[in-house]
Amino acid sequence: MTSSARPAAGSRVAPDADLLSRCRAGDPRAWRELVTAYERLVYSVPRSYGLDREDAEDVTQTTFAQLLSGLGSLRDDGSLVPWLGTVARRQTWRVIDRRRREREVFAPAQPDRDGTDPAAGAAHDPVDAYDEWMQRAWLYQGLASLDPACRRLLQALYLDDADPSYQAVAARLGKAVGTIGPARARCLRRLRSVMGDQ
Amino acid sequence: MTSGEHPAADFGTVVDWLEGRLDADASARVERLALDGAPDVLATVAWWRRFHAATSLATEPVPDGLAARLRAMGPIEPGAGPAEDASWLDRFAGAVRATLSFDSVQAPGLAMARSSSDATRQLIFSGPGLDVAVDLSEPRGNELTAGVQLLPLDRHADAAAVLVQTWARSGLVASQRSDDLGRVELGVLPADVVVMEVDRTSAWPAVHVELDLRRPA
Repeated sequence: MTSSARPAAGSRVAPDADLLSRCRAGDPRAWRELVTAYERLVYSVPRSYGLDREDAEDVTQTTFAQLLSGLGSLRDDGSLVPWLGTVARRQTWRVIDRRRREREVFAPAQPDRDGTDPAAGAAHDPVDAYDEWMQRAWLYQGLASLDPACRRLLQALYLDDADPSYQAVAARLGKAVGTIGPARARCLRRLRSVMGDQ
Repeated sequence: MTSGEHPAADFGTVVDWLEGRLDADASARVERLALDGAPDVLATVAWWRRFHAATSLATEPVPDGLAARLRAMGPIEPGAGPAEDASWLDRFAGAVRATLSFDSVQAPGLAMARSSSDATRQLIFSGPGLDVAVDLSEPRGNELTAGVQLLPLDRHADAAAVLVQTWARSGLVASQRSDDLGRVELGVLPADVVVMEVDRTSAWPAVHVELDLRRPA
């Protein structure tokens, strides 16, 4: 994907200002909604750079911790998603750097906990990783702007690993099979309207 | 359907066509419109392709333990429990609790060497593979601040960039990584029970240190 084709995360969608405002007011439900909306997106950053699950968990936790402690000082609520991505990438690089130093100290070669090699993962083209993340960000930011029912439905149909057939999705969500198709069209239309065509 | 949209090519129908959900006749009608360059159809196709490309960049679900920890960071539900409820400490069940091995108050020669205006108390907690030195001081009135020095038992182990998170009953207080020398400045801490969790590395497991910073009644 070229830079000119990068999704403009945050260009038309600003669903986060309300969530952030409620978080600042100490609303525990808002924090949970925010985590639900973006935990996968943040977790995908260290994973896309080849970090193992434990390190990816650390990066994700640190990123949300920084968000929580910096809620009052965020400059632009509409830029939450790029902010999360930047912090997660910075934390990821720190871990990669740390693991590299550990390997140097414990040379010649000490396998990582689950056999993955963060440095090898980091060799994945960072521009590609960034572009892919921006595409995910465009999608997740759009999903975050939908009502919970639409968000759950589209996740079940397009993002979950489980069977995406109407029958299976209806069973998982406790809906009638006949309602899935019309609801899907309505939710996709809404998603497109908030994400825009550009 | 928007104004000017062809009846056979409303958004839902085009998406159904793209996902192979239409019968042959309906499919042929939409396909004809697409081949004829109907703007609405082409716009929907372009959007759907981008949407589909984004969904195909799989994001794996976050592990359950992480999901729970992330949610637990946030504000606590009003009336979630009595003030003395210690259940919030359960989140540290997976970390080894470091035990106090040195307290400068118990070593008067060290503690009394400082003036009362610069009162610093040093505590050292010992865990497997790691000692954690905590310097507590009250530089501003009654506010307690703390600095932490990570001291790996293996002199080759790296104490830099280690995640140190500080929790209180109210939730996460601070989350920082140690500097190149293994030092973390925690800043002002609440006058309450505080737990510092030091992340595991290849040289030690996750370790937590509990501090009771409540003022005597």
